[in-house]
Amino acid sequence: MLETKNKFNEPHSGISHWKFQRISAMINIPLIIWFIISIISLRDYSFNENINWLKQPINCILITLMLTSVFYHSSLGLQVVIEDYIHDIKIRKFLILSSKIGLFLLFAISIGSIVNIYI
Amino acid sequence: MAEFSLPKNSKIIKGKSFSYKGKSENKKEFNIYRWSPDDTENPRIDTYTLDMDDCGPMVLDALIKIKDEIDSSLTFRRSCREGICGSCSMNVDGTNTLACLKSIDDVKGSVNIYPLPHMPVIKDLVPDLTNAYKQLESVKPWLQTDDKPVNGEERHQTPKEREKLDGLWECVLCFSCSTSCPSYWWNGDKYLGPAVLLQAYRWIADSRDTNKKERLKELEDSFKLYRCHTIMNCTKTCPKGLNPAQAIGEIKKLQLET
Repeated sequence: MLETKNKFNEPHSGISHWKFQRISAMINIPLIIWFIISIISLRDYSFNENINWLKQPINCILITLMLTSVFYHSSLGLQVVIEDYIHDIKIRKFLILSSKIGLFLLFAISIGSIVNIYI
Repeated sequence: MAEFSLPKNSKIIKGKSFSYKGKSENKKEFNIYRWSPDDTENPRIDTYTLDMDDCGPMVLDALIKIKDEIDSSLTFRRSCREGICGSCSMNVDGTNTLACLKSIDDVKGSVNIYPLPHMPVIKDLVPDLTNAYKQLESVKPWLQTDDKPVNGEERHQTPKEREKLDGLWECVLCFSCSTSCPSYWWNGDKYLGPAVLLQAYRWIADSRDTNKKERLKELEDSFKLYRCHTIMNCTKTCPKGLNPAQAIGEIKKLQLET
């Protein structure tokens, strides 16, 4: 999921990265608004009630979509920040790879936690 | 890695002060960046006080007056003194601009004058623009076409086609925009910068040019074009009131379509 078409700042990779960063940003807007409203409205409920909320298919699907989009967007964004400031190619490639692995692990843990509810 | 502090020999120290000895009440202080390659001294800020009743209205007038009457060693580029040649671009009062178009009255308090930011300095207010000119050359800023003009006449454009070049042809290549752009500061060797990208778009938008596709393909690069993060300093600083950020946006839009 976190793989992007462009492998670390190779030439002729600008447009796809730029495009997917914008698309994921637009997808993020409604999903994050929905998520914030949801957790605020759930704040007075117990742990089990929260789990029940998450078990509803619509909530489960939306939160999975949000996590996918958010982590994908973060990965693209972090890559740009590293490309901007780290000029040594080797260190840059290492940091970009590390950021992608790190974000993928966080993504896997998040999705795993959701799957765990059903097991 | 981006450098966040200056090396020791680049630290700016306080320089000489040339006080005004006349009787005029209408005085103005000019703090000017000085550095010479001929000695090993650090860059310094020299202070000159001028009688504003005996000086032209623009910052360039003050610089010329200082060079003429107070300190002939002050070095800066200038030519047309009316915003057409683009020579006297420098940082006045914290903003990149053309000294000839910047009114002294617009600056409150003393006037701070530095060379264009983040470019190598040749002397005083003269930056080394070699890299920027090379980048301009790389976008082939001339008409490219295999079409022969009809009957050996000029290549015609409709008024509408010509309108597309408005806001682009006026650029005088002073590089105020490029040197105000943080992306250009950090990656100026690879990112083309707003000035050059505006020029690139000037030819992409020209109805007479038939090399549009090739030009767009050349720019499809995560560093050459896509280091632009729409910070918009370029548009804010342009002394000619142009909008390089919009030109860059147009290039991105065209690349999405192809």
